[in-house]
Amino acid sequence: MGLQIAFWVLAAILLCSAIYAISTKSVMRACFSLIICFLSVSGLFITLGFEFLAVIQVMVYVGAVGVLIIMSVMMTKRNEEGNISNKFKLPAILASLCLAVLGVYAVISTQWPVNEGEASNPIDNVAAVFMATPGGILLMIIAALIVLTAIVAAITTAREE
Amino acid sequence: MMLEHYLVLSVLLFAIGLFGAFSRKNAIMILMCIEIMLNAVNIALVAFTKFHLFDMISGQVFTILSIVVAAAEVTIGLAIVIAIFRNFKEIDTDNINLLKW
Repeated sequence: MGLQIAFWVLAAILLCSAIYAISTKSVMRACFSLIICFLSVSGLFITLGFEFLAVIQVMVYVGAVGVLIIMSVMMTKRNEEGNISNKFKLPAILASLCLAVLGVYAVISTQWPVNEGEASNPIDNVAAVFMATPGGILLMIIAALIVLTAIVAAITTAREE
Repeated sequence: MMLEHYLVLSVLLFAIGLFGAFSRKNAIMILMCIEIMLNAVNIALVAFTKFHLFDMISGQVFTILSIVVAAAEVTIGLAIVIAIFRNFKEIDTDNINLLKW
């Protein structure tokens, strides 16, 4: 019962903050609304029982991505006057409505092969179990290489000539 | 809660992010909307993992990899935005079309 209340409250906060983030004129308010959105996604992970992923979500998204976006908003000029959307507003509404209707229909009409009672708790020690599985180290090395490449590319791109 | 609740929530969040990414002019706003869409994908991945459509380990690991790729993507995107702002003094995507033709 408590989990259901938490789910509905978090889902309402998530959708409202996402809609506010894409519809407000001020980019700074959109940033803070986006951070609320990230935090409620982390809360949804906790309602599913994945505390480790929730902590990683808070650290990476709220801690790193949110601060990065806020700093780059501060470094660029305020651009709040005038129309905030381009000339593709009506096609964008149509496309996203079509996607939403199709997706909801596909989710509802599919017979998902879940067994309800067996939705067990996730394992506690994800990192240790994952490092013991074959190929796990390789995946982590690939992730580290992706981040290293991104950092080097970002420094090279944003550097003063 | 059932799997369908989380998947419907994920679809709605993805549609909101898609609308924003299509229709906003500010380049930073487009990056933020892409982050919203990636979060929707993360919710779907975690829900699939919880209800045993994925393996317990590989579902979490793919979610972590998705978060890593999202962080790398926003890093490069904001670096490009800063570089464009230094050259053009604005980040309005209606006026910056140097890669169009």
